[in-house]
Amino acid sequence: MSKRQVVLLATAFAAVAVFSTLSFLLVNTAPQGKPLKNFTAPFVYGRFAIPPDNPLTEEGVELGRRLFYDPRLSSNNQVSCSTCHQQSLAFTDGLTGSVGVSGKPLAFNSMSLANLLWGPQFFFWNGRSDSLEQQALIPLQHPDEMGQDLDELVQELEQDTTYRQLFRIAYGGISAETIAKALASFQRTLVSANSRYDQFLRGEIQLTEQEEWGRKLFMAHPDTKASLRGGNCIDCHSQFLTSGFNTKFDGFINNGLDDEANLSPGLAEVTGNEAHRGVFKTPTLRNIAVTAPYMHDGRFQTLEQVLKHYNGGIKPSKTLSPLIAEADNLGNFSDGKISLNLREEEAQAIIAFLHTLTDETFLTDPRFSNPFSDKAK
Amino acid sequence: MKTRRDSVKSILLAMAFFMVTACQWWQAKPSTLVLRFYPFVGDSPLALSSGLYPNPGGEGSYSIRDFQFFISNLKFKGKEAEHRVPQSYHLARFDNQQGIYELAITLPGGQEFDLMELGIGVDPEANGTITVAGDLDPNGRMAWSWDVGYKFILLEGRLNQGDKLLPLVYHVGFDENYTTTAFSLPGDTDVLNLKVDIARLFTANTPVDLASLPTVKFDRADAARIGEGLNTMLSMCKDECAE
Ligand code: HEC
Ligand code: HEC
Repeated sequence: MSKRQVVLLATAFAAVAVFSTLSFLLVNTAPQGKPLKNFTAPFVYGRFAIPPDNPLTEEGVELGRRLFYDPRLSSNNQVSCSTCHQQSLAFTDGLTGSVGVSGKPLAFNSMSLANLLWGPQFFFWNGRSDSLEQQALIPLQHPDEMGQDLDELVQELEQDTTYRQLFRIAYGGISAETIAKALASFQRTLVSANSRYDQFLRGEIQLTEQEEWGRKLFMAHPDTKASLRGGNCIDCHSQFLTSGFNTKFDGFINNGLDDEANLSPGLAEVTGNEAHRGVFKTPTLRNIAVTAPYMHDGRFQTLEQVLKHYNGGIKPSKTLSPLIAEADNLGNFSDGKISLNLREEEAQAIIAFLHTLTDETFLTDPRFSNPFSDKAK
Repeated sequence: MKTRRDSVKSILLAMAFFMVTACQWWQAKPSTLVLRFYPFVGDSPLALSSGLYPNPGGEGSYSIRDFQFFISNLKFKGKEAEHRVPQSYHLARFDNQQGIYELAITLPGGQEFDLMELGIGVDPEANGTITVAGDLDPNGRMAWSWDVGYKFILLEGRLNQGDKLLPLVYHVGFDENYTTTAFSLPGDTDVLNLKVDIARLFTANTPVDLASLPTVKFDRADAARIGEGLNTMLSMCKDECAE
């Protein structure tokens, strides 16, 4: 090949390269804001996925935080997401059933919003929502939660210069879709990873003897043959995250709250599968000491009551998890009475371990706090 | 000065150049091999929750509500070549529409393989760490706590004996039960059908009476008793996997 031909070929390739770069730039001119800096997550939490059409950006997250705390997002301008998801309570509300604009308590207990990037990627107690983007618009419009008309909300936000600017930079404009994207982005940043348990995992501190005993019981399924005593919590609450398992509906289980006659539909409402009656999302236990009352309907007021449930209070049904049915430290589960048969000190040790999951940094992190209060600025 | 013949020559040259590169690209083009795992209990296809199978060593029949297992370290061997699938930890599960587990493997082009090796379970090295590789997930359903490692096989169900219902839980792990097996590859195929016979877990030696061994977890002798079945659990499908 002559020198000239080489030059020609080279320019052809260069042109292709320039063209593709240009088209890349053209396709990617949709406003996006700056990528979020300093977003970190512990290695032991494993993989997580952020939807490619809603990357985490500084502006998106800031916007989501404002929206989360803004009561103008409700029909009577008095209820915000934070009404039922308060930071000091790990984003729950302390009520049995949450209360929104209608004043009528919901049938469900508010859920913590810690570490939503991990665990089951189906949201709500019955898993009826499969992304945080889709989830966000549901409480907004629910007549008993925020009762907000979305078109009206977009108009209202258009009147506010700060919102107009932030939305323009982050997403190019205000719409129901971009409101949902911003709320989802903010919630994805709510990572709780500095509890005493985390500090223990990082080798920074030691747990007390009682906490360590509780940790071991939490992490073991009882096996009388192997002389192993356990609370079997890890069968459903994963070892590091303490939430349900993330693949498919693996994290949705019947933990024996109701007997056959009284099972609520639970996940069956979503899948239509009979075998899913009474099956609910296994929630994270991070910050569990501050998120009372417990379970999907808030039926237990204290962790002592929760332990009593697992230790003798299990109600049998066709969909009860077999892992609960046969978890027994005395090895006589075939006699019909289901119980872990833990000793009182063992139950207390598990509760002590549950307290190591409280993360003060998370509960007070200024990045997650109300941006409208003076303190936060 | 450039003549007409010169430009014809350069066009021809350019064409030849492209053809040669295209041929090389074609030859080296990676191929895909699809492994399909068809679950059975003996001769009956697995029907999760609804199927009833005879208790191998005793009275009654049992149903399976969940069944998953780890396949790991897929390796392909030929006369000259060896290919290890990267991050090869695959969780086989059957709770999908077709009720089978399908795994697509990309093989390097221009090489011939006649043997496939694989592990059932998780090799001791990965089992002793909390690395996130392939389908290994320390927060997943197959993980025990980090000092114990992974469940290789998870089988949960129920034994029906008259009006007695007994929960069945077989969580079988431990390094000593990691099993490797190999299959010779029929030439020139892009789909390989494998039969997973769950009954083998209970019939490796004396058939197990599920009523006397309804759960297996941390007792190493019990785990080994079920684990013995792993090396015959997989076989090449003959007619039984017909679609
Ligand atoms: C009236 C109280 C109330 C308000 C207001 C409210 N929530 Fe909730 N939230 C709840 C309750 C109760 C649940 C559980 C409901 C269920 O499962 O049906 C929940 C569940 C969730 C979940 C699911 C968490 C999980 O792990 O599955 C997310 C995410 C969430 N809310 C975000 C929001 C956002 C964002 C807003 C504001 C747009 C909001 N919530 C407003 C009470 C409320
Ligand atoms: C078989 C699975 C399973 C096991 C085993 C299990 N849990 Fe749960 N846990 C769940 C599910 C599912 C829920 C939610 C149930 C509901 O509300 O319907 C839950 C809820 C809880 C809650 C309330 C959480 C909240 O935010 O309201 C606590 C606390 C809890 N579990 C602690 C434990 C402890 C401690 C153990 C071990 C002694 C344990 N769990 C064992 C599945 C399990």
